[in-house]
Amino acid sequence: MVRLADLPEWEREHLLEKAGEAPRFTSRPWVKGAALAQRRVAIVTTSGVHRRGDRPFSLIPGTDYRVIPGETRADELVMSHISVNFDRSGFHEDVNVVFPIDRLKELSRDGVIGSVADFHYAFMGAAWPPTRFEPKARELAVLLKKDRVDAVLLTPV
Amino acid sequence: MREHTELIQPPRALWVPFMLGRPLGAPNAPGFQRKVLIAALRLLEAGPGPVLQDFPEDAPAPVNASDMEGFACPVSLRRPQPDGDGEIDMTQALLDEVAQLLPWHDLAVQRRGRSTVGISGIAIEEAARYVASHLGAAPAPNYDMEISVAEALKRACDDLKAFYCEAAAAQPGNPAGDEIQEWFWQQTAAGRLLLDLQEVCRESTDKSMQMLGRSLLVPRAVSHSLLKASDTI
Repeated sequence: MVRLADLPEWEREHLLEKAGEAPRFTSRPWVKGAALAQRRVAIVTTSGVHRRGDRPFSLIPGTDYRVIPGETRADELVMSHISVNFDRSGFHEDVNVVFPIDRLKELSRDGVIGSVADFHYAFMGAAWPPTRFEPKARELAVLLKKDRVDAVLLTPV
Repeated sequence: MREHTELIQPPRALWVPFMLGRPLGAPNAPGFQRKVLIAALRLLEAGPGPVLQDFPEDAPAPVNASDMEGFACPVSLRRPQPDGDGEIDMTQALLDEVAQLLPWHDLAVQRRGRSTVGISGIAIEEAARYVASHLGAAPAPNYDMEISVAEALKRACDDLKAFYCEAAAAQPGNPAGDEIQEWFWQQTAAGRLLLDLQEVCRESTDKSMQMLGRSLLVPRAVSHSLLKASDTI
């Protein structure tokens, strides 16, 4: 997220226009879970990050995802998001600014969270409207449950 | 955007005042990233929802960032020279730039232990030749027959941009991301070539190429600043 006030007027207008088109939830589901120190956490990002050998995300925005195994090294990760309108220099320097896998492992080691998932997932968040992702999100929920995940960190760009 | 989150009302959201593309705030700032991450994860223990919390700190400024006068690439990139007919060979200009930046890119890889170049799967010189060929009457054959020309072009362009960005970031002064962007689009043959390519794509009869030219090669900020500059002439 970013401060709208920090953006030039044309960018503000563009983003506010998107806000008007954004979907709304029709219900207010609320689930209380275990304490953070007992949670198993996965990252789901819409940044278009994936392993170097994976198929890059397509020019035509879809709702497909890439799997990032927990043991993936930083030097194996690249980004094929199609947008040219966000900063990539931070990701070039440090994957954790988008995909904080090292930080998550540190929190697990320090006992702040219970454990880190075996698998993380990446979408390329250009498909619109976001409701198009619902079938894949439901698919992912099943996979996350099989990995005993009970907390997900969503990181957009 | 906070405004979007207020409307959509997801169960839990941490609003952060960082630039787009940096949800954890700043690269190579593990302490700060950890604070952001814990603030987000602590929302799991908050309630009742929907919870929208503001992260109270701005991202730390990069250490040794170059001054406000902007980044001047210490590598003196030769301006492309016209040939006897007054034409500029953009392919050669691009290859010259790539060759001049290679030692800096090598240094970047050594320091960071990684590079994000490689989406196209071809060498950077080949990516440069492929991109430049699309400005001419006879574009080079697609390097990957399993994908469309527009897809191949996009991947090669993204590799070029990442290569320049990583090479520039390794140079003295620790230039900020926006300074590198400005340098790329205003001072390099690669930036000029991509602006020309944008026009070629817009005029293509291929819909994917048109889409590429419309919004997927040149950032909106660059298009707007060029438009503003042309209005003041």
